[in-house]
Amino acid sequence: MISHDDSDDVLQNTMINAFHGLDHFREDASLYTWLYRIATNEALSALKRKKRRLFIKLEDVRSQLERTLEEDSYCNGDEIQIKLQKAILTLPEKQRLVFNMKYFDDIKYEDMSEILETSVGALKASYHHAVKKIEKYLEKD
Amino acid sequence: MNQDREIADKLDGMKKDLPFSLPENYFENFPERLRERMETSQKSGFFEKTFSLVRPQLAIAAVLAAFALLGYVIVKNTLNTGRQNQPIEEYAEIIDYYIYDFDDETIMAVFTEENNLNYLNHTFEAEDIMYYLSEEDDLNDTELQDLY
Repeated sequence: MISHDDSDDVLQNTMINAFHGLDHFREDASLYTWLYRIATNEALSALKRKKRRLFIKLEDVRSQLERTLEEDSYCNGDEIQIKLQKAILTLPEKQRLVFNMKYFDDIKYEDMSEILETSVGALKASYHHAVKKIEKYLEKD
Repeated sequence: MNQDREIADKLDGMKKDLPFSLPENYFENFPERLRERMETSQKSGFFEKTFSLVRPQLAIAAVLAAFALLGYVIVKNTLNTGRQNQPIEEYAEIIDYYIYDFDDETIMAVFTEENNLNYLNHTFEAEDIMYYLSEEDDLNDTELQDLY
């Protein structure tokens, strides 16, 4: 999520869903992983709703997110940070997710595997491809 | 170019800060906003829950209504096709019923006037009159004669 309002909605929904689903929480799993999984699912659902609601294509979602990045008053990083975010927006959804989780949150592949229900090998490959694409984007622009 | 190198360097070991900030006291106020949101969603949740309970029944009712409408249209069209031959019979019945309200002279007078004929000098056949009536009502005169 890029805009503050969207992120706020996702966070609130995450907490509400966690509250309602507390009975389903397995104690052998980490609370952090469990919450992260709910938040990830909620963020992906919010993006899908946005696409459906606005009847826009994936490419248009990207350009809209780029605009938000430039215009949202709570997006106030330096030029390099904004450029990196734009590079991340060019990634396919899954790779973007993996890159953000690994690069910014430094989540272990094993935990990521549990959250995204994907094998560690596939996640490592996703991250590798994501890094290559971002480097290429940064070199090009 | 220097900037790009800077970014590439950052990817390897830069401070991994996101370029996003928060409104003041965001997390301090978050529990209160969340509580308000949950209260609001609980109020509106009653209708959503009720709707979700009756939703399968509504879907079945909608399908049945669609089938009923489709059936009605098909049956109506079929009946209308069967009734296409009825008007001639109905006309024959009407003529049969009302024909006695007019005497022969009235019919002859109308017939001759509309066909520019001389009533006194013309011999009328029943077939002529039937032909005239069928023309008036755009009917097949042979069918009319057969029925009459």
